[in-house]
Amino acid sequence: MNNEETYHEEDPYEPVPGKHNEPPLEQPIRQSPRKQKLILQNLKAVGQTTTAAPVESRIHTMIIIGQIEGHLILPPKNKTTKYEHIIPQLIAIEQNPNIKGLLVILNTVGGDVEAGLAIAEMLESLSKATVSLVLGGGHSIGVPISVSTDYSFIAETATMTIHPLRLTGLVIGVPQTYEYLDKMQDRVIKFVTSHSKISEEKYRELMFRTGELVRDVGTVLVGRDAVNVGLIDEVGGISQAIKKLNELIELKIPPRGKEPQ
Amino acid sequence: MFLYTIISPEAIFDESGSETGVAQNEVEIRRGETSLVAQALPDGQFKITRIISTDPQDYLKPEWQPGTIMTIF
Repeated sequence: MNNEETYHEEDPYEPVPGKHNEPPLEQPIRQSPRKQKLILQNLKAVGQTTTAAPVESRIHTMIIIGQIEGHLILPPKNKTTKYEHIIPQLIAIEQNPNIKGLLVILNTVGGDVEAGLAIAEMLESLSKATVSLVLGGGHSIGVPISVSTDYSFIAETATMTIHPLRLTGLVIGVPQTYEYLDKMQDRVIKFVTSHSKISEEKYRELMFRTGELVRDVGTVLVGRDAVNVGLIDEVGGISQAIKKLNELIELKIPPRGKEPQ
Repeated sequence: MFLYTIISPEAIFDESGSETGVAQNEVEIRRGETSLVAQALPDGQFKITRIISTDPQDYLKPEWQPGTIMTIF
């Protein structure tokens, strides 16, 4: 799809000196299909014209991958999902009447607590139908995001790690620091337990379970385990997620004559 | 700032491995509602590396496929 490749190629429609010596035919402004295609490509590249838009999808998708990046830019080798991308997208989705549902795909290792909770709260308060699908992993702060949607799916082989929050960097060893840490942890626990079927006691038990992880406390839930503890609604993949989203969209569409506004 | 992640902070903040194929000179190009992350090439063109959009159709556009060279003028 390299534009440059086609640009330098020899155009069979152009008369080449010394090759074809017939005089040019009487066609005043005749452009070869290749040239026309090039013009179109350039127009597309600079965004000068809008081509006939394809049918707008009523389901949009949000892919949350790698680290969830918040108040601090992480070194470039981290793959990140930035909150300054996600939050405006969610506002745009909320305002676009053509978008009826949102599919959130998670494959995240966690990230910034505030950014993660902000995304989770936005998804939770979105008026459109929302479904999440955990593929690969939905660890740490990915857990509140996965439970924030109307319905949640996890792939059979996907994992979710539930572990306590940790402080990194310079820590001032005063009791207030630990109180603050506890408060942050409570925010996560409260959000997860109020948006899924898991009880607070069970979640805390999974979070502080010792012996499961080699160098830390916590629990790894694989696929069905996450459903069994009540964190995720169902084991499934992309087709189940889209099917559920379509069902939820049908439920959310108000009956005729009762359109809001 | 709190990072709640399974990746160790040493791995996240380790800047020694900057030669591990990390794209340099990345820029974001706006195309309507969509953001394209592209790598600036020495000849003034841009190589698309990532599409940031919620519209699934955007990911199927041939002119936005990662690796495509874009000309901006």
